[in-house]
Formats: sequence, structure tokens, C-alpha cells
Amino acid sequence: MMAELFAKETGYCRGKGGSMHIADVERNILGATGIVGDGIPIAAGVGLGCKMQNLDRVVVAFFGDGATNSGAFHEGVGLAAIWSLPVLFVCQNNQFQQSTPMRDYTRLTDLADRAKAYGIPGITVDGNDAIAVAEVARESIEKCRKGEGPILVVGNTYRTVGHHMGDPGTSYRSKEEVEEWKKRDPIDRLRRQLLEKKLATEAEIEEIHNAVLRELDEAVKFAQESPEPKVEEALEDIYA
Amino acid sequence: MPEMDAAKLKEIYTTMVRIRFFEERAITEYRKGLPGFIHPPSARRLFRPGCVPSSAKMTISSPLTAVMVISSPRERDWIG
Repeated sequence: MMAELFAKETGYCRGKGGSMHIADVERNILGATGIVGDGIPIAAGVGLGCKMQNLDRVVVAFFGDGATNSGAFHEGVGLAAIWSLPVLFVCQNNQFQQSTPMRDYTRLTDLADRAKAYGIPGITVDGNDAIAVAEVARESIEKCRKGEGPILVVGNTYRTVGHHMGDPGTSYRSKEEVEEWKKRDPIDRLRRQLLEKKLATEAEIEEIHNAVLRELDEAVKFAQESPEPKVEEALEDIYA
Repeated sequence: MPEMDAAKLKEIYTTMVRIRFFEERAITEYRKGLPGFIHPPSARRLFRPGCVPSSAKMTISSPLTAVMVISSPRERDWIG
């Protein structure tokens, strides 16, 4: 992935996908699209393919709260519902559609209510509680696998940084609100839970962090030393 | 719902840390100037203190994604 960010030949998409369109089909990661919500009907399509071929597979589509206002969301979820497809739709509700707060783009207070329009289960979970999310995920995936899909899961969380490179994220909310949410950081929370339940020690946590930092050093070195894509291959892998 | 064991929770924690640290490292590398990603008109905005390049965020999504992916027990499931 780091090599892809560096636009190198060794990246997941041979340096051509960049950070917005990264995919790794060999690992069943179909990738992101630069168009908000457009992964949703693709997930429905893959789910239909799985069902038609009687494959024991579940498709998981991730998107933000803003995507639930797109036509692609309604079409994709609607089709998945009517055909009972094995798809788990996961909305990461960070409460802002770019810079527009949720209260300004929908009358709903719980985005899982959107599921009612399609007659499918809608589940709300604290998106900053990793254990709660994992449990909801496990239950939902098993239901989808048993033919009880699709399911919409909404994880309520908060974006504590800007939406994009030119957005400091300070003009459409208060500093106090941001600081309050920073206290609910999901990683800090899970770390505390691990320590309180004596499932991990401080030393183990530190080693996890150090191991990840070493891995990242190696990833950056690998990316820096990787070759550039060849000019003569510039038009390969282009389908439109 | 059976309670998750320590190994599973540590796996989830590790993946969340990997994503967070990857994002932070990617931003650091962006600020150094990655070839092919920074074009002059946006460069000044990119380096504004406190800003997170959206492309790095888009790629790796969030710890929420990590938990969901880890909770899918079969590698043959599709993630989009």
C-alpha cells in the first residue's frame, strides 16, 4: 500500500490507482472508488454474483454517512434487499457530509432507520467501541451467510480532523466538540479495556506499537527503493 | 454472544494501531513530497498545519473498518 502511495510499480495497483482507488483483488478487496457511494451498487452486484453461483460468501461495503444521501445507496441497498443478497452495508457515520453536519442534510437522528425503507434490519452501534463493533460484525456476517441479508450497520463515530487536504475542520464545529470526541478515541478505549481486563500488559502494548513502527519503516524503504512504472505500460489496465 | 478471547482482541487492537500509524506515516511522507501526488496548486494547502490529506484517509478508512474486516471469519468474503 505504501508503494502504491509512492506511485511505484510494486504498489497494489502498480502505481496507477493511487490512494483513492486502491484495490487488492487477490485478497478479495475490491477497492475504493473516487465517487461517493459508488461502492454500494458494486457490492450488490458482487452479492448477486455470489448468490447466483451458490458461493458461501458475504460482501461487506463500507461508506460514510454522506453516501446514504446518494442515489447509489438507495438503488444498491434496494436491489440487495429485494433479492435477499448476502451483503453487509456498513455506514461509518462521522456526522459530517464533508463540512455539512448531519442535522442539515437529513431529518433522521439514526441513519439505521434508512433500512426500514427497504424492509431490512438496521443496526446502530457505537463506532468508537471496538468490541461492540466486532460483535455486531460477527453476528451480522453470520446472518448474511445464512441467507438473512442484506443488513445495514451504522457505526456512530466522529471525524476529529478535516475532510480533505484544504480543510482544517474548524469552521463548521466548535473546538470544544472536537476535543470532547478526541477523548473517546477508539484505540485508546480498546487499550484501556485490554489493560483493565488484564488481557494485555503495558509491555505487550508497547511491543505492538514498536512492531508496527518497524513494519512501516520497512514499507517506506520498500516503496522508496521500488522502480517507477514503465512509460510504455501507461495505457495498460485502462478500461474506459 | 461469547466474549472474545484475548488473542482476538489483541489482533483487533494491532490492526487498529497499524491503520492509525499507517495514516500518520503516510501524512508524514506526503508532507515530504511524494512523487506523482503533489501538484503545485494544491501543495500549499496540503501542508497547512493540522490538515490531513484526504487521499490517505480514503485509502485506509478507519479503525471501524478494521474491526469489521477482522470480524469476518472467512478470507473468501469480499470487502469493498
